[in-house]
Amino acid sequence: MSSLSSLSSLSPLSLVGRLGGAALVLTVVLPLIVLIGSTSVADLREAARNPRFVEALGLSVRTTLASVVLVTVLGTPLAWWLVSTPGRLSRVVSMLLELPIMIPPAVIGLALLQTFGRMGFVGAWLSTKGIFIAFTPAAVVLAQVTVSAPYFIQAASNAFREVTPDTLVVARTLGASSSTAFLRVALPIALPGVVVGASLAWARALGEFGATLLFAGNLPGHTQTMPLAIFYALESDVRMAVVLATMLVGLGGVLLLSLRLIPSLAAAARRRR
Amino acid sequence: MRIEREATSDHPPFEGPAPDRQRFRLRPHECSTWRVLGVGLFGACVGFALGTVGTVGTVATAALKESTDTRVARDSDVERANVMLTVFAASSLAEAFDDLARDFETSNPNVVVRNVFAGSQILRLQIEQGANADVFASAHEEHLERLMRAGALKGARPFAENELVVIVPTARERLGGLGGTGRSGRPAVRSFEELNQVDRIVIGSENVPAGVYARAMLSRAEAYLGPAFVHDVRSHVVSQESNVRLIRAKVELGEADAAFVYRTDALGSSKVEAIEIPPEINVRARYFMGVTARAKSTAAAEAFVAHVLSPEGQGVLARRGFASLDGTAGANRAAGPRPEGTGGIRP
Repeated sequence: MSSLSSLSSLSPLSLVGRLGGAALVLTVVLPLIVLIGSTSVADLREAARNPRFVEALGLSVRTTLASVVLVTVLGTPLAWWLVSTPGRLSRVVSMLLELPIMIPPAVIGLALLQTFGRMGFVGAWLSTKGIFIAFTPAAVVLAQVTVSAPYFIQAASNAFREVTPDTLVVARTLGASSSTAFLRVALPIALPGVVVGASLAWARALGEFGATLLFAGNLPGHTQTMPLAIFYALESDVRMAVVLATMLVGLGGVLLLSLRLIPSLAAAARRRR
Repeated sequence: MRIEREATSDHPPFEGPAPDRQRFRLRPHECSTWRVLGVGLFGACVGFALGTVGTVGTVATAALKESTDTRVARDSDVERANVMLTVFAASSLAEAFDDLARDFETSNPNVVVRNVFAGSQILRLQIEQGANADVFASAHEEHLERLMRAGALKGARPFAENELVVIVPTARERLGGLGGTGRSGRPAVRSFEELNQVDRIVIGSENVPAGVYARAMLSRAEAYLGPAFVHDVRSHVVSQESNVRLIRAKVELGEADAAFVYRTDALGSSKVEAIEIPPEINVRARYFMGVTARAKSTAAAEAFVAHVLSPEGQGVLARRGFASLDGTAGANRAAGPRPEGTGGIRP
C-alpha cells in the first residue's frame, strides 16, 4: 500500500488524478450539501406539522420496516442455503436473485403489475378470492421486497461465506443438530454481515420510487411513500419538496453512520466476551 | 460493496489478512506492466476528454451559430434557418401534436419539431427550472399565467377545448383477462349516476389539469347528486396520477374500474369506452399555448403557434376530437400580451 502511494506521488499523473477525484467527490456531495443548506429550521418545523408529510413518513416507516422484516426472515435461511449447498441449482438461484439489481425499478413495477394486478397472472386468480394487491399498501411492501431482497441476499451470503465448514463440522461432532449448528454457530459469526445486509435493504426500500409508482400508484396516506410525496410536492410547492428531500438525506445519513458503526461495535462486543 | 468488505474483515480467524496482502502487493516485474497499463489508460482518458471537449465545442459553436442565424432570420424567412423547435405539450395533446408537427415540418423543411409530452404542471416546472422549450401548450391556463408572471413566457393564446368523460373498460376487456377470470361477475357501469358503485377509481393528482378539472366537476356534482354520492366516489379513488395518459393506462390495464379523462383520450383507446358526464356538472378544459422567453428561434416558434391556430391546424385538432373555439380561434381573450409578429410569418 505504501509503495503504491509513493509511486503515485512521484508520477506526473497525480495532479490529474487528484483533480478528477476532487471533481467526483464534489459532484456527489455538493448537491446534498446545497439541498441541506437551502432548508431552514422553520421550514422543517412547518413540514413536521403538514399532515401530508406526516402521512408519507409514517407510511414509509411502516412499509419499509415490514419489507425489511420479510426480507430478513425469508432471506437469511435462503442465503445460508445458497452458500452451504454447492451445485448448479444454488448458482442459478443466486444469479436470478441478483437480476433485480440490474433491472430498472420501473420495469420491476410493470412486471409486478402484470403478475399481481387484477388482470395479472396471479392477481386474476387472487381477485376471484377477493384479494387485491395492486394499489394497496401491500403492493408498496411487495415492490420494496422485490427491489431490496437482492441487496440483503448478497450481503448475507458474503457473511455466511466467512463461516468455515470446519467450525460446523466441529459443532456437529459435539452433538449439535444441523439447525442448532446454524443458529448457534453460523448465524452469530455472520450476524454483523446480516445486519449490514438488512440495513442496505432498508435503505433501498426507503428510496424505492419507480416500482412503487407503477404497481402501488399514488394515494396520500395509503400508498404515497416519501419519495412519491417529494415527486408530487414538487408539482405544487418546491420548498416543501426540498424539505422532504432534506429529511430523507438526514435519514440516509443516520443509516450510513450506523452501518459504519455496526462492525466496530460488534467487534467491541466480541472483545468484551 | 466496501461496506461488506469491512464487515467481513472482522473475522480474522478464518482468512488471515496476511496472504491477502501478499497477493495484492506489486512486484517489480509487475510494476512496469502496471505503469504501461496506467499510461495507456491515462492516454485513453486524455483522448476521450479531448474528444468530448472537441464535440462540446463543435456543438456549442453550432448552437451559437444557429442562434445568431435565427436571430438574423427572425424578420426575413424561417425556412432559411436550420431550426430545432422544442414543443412542450400536455399529455392529452400527444397524437394531435405529432400530426401538427409532421404537417409543420412538411411546410417548413428546415425546421425539426421535437415534441415533449407530460402533465402540464411538470412541463411548467421544467420550464421554470430552465428547460429548453420554445413553445408550451398547456391543458390549463394557470400554468401559462404563472410562467408569464415570471417572465418566462411571452404570451398565451387559447387554441382548443376539451371536456371530461368517465372511462370504463370495454365489455370485451372486462370479460377478457387471463382465462376469463377477470371480474366477469361485476356489472358494468352504464351511467355517471352509477359511479359510486365501482370499486376502484383513478383520478389526476391535484396539480395536473385533468385532476384539477375532475375535482371541480366533483364539487359541482355535490349539488347535483348529493354529497354522499361524491363522498362514495372520492373514497373509491385508489391512485392519483401525474398525467392523463397514466390515468387512462390504469383502466386499459384493467386495474381501475373507472377514471376521469378528456373525451379525446377516450376516443384514442380501443380498450376503454366513455360514459358521459351530465352537462350540468361537466367542466370544459381550455388549452392555451405560447412562445417561451428563452425560445432559440422566436420566428419558428411563433410560426408553429400560427400553424396550430390556422384552419388546417384546427382541422387536425378536430379530427382528434378536440372542440374548436367556435371558429374564432385566436380571437378569444388572450391571457397576456399577444405574441408579436405572429401574423407576419408564413407558416
